[in-house]
Amino acid sequence: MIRFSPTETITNTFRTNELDPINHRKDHDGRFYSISQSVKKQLFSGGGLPKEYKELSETLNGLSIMVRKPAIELITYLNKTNFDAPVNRYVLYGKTGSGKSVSLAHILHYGSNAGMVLVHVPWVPNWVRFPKGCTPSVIHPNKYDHPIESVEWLRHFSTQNGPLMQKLELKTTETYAWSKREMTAVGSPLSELIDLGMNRAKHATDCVTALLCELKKAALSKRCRVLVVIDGFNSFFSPKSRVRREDKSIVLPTEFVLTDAFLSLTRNDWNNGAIVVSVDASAHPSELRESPLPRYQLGKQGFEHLDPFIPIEVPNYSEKEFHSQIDYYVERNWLQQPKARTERGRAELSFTSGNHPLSLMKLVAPY
Amino acid sequence: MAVLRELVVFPSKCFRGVRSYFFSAPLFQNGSLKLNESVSKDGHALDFEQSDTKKMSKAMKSYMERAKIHDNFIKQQLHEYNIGKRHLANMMGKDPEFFTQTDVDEAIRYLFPSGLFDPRARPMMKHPDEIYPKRKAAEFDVNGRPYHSLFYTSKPNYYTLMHDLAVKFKQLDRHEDKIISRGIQNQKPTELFLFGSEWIPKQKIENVLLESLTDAQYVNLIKTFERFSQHPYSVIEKDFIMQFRRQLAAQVEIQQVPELMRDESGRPYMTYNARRKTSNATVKVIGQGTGVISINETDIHFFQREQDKKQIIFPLQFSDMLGKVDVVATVDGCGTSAQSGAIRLGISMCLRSFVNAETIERMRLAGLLSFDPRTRERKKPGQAGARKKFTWKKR
Repeated sequence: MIRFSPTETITNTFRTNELDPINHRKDHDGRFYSISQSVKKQLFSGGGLPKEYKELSETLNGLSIMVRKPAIELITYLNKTNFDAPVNRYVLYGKTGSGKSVSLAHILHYGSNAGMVLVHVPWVPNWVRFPKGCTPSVIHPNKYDHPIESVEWLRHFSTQNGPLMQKLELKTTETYAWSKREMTAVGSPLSELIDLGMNRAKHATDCVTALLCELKKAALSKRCRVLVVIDGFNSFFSPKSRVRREDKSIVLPTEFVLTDAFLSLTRNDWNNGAIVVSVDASAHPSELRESPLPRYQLGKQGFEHLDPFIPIEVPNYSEKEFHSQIDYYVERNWLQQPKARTERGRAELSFTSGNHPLSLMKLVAPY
Repeated sequence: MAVLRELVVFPSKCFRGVRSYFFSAPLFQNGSLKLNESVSKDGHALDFEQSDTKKMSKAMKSYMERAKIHDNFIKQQLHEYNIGKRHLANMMGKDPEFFTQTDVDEAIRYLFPSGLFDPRARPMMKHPDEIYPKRKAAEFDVNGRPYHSLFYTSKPNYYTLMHDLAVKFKQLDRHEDKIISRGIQNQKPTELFLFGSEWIPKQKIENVLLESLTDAQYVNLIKTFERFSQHPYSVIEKDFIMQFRRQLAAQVEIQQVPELMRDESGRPYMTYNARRKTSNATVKVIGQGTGVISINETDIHFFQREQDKKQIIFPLQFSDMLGKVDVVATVDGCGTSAQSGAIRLGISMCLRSFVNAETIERMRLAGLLSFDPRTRERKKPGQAGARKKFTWKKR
């Protein structure tokens, strides 16, 4: 198992020694940096890396992410952010398979290293398209809960932010009455709130809403810094979902409680944080996949919600990035044909994949 | 015109081309002449027929009659043809004395315009020798004695030819011996002159020899000819050999490779409209490029299947121009396979202007420069599809 420890010097031009995303700059563009197993487990066990990408990283003995321009741009902005001003919203957009999710994963690692509380939704369409069971909400009329998904998400949150939450020791600012007997008093630790949500699926969604509210207030009162990372944000404004009422009518995503919770968090009425969001054509049904651009993908409602935002395009590989990717595959012995390593072979791969990251990954795979 | 109609033949079998090796004697005239001209010196016609018919068998007699009828028929046809030619010349306002066969053809094409596809099905007026198949001259005399020594082989002309080849071979050997004995060093045996021609097929040989051959006999004949033409001094008998060879279709004219054009920024480019099945592609290949490809304003992912992408990349990789030229293509019609095939042909044709002659030849051999003529086959009545039949019921 070939691993690069942080102290070892790396002479390959496609790798970099700099394992801390906070220090990633322009000269790291096109280079791979590796993420240790423990960090991977902490950040991504609840999702966040695309499935095939994750499997490939396991096959190739270690998660190595390529540092690319969109992520570098974001890191520069985040490093220079004035956290007293209202939160900035960044929208990553690009063709399906161009590397948005992996860029978000990079940012997540950055946030974790920078000591920010991570509010991470790995893939919104999972809640919209494949909910494991939506129940009508008790508290909010005409809205729907996601009991199972909320529990999963709370677990994911606590895994990602576990050590940080212990350190911060945030407390609730309100009383939450769950039922006649159950109650969370003011000043109780947030971990209690989270635990309650994880144990009681019935109240899990409302726990999530409460948690997000508390985090917002905590950020406002400078008790912590919050980084919101949401992949597939445009799915919140999808024209349909797979949830139906008894009369077979379709429930829109805007009628979910979770949607309300995250939309309130992504409003720019708070400070001391940052919101990084991605919009992808595959998050919408096939009717809305004509263009990858943010205005089209978000629709009128979504655009009005997010406006003003900073759009960041995630393009296909540049020539340097492409060669770096091929070098990586060659070094890992994933590209085994000697012809694939020649100039002609590279030109063929570049042409046939169109320098598109996902196409290249699929092209190079033996299956 | 009524006269012409009789003459103008809507033909069945028309043999033309090879000059007959065996100059078949003008039909049966010899025999008939013999019959008719046997007039004794003292003037009164010998009652030849009467005395000889007793000796002639019935078979002989019927043969002679048939031959005579055919003879007369051909004579009649020839007469009509000549008269018809004169009429035609009159009609066309040309001089009847100098009215050639080409003029006749032109006149017929003008007077009887035909939309038929096969030239052999269209109306024609030709010399009877070209229309009616030749027959052998009388093979035996009135007494039944054959003229040809090899008559009883039943294929005298064929075996004569084989024997002639053998004789000529020996002659060439003797010639070679003479040359060697004289010690003439500078007279080197000449090369084969057979390039660009092939042996005439069996059907044509049969027309020349006026005999039908079995496949084995034809093969034997060609083998003998091959052996003969491989003799170092066979060039002496070149004329003889070339009688039995036909020129191959002239090499495809080397198409002029178009010159590169220049656009506003000075970059060279070439365009081509290519087709495949019913799809049309307009392809523009621009030099000094980096390998950017645009198909209907999208990138290579316009084609989702790998095989279609491979079709596009093939000419660029084959000619080593991948990454050196840009391609801009628009395509419509038919399906993905046809569209990618059309673009491939377009790219290949444009690349001719960018590469050297050797690469163009290699591309031609690889099949990149050939138009693919395959189209969808027609569905036939009585069948479910082009080839598929309805369920066959035994009873």
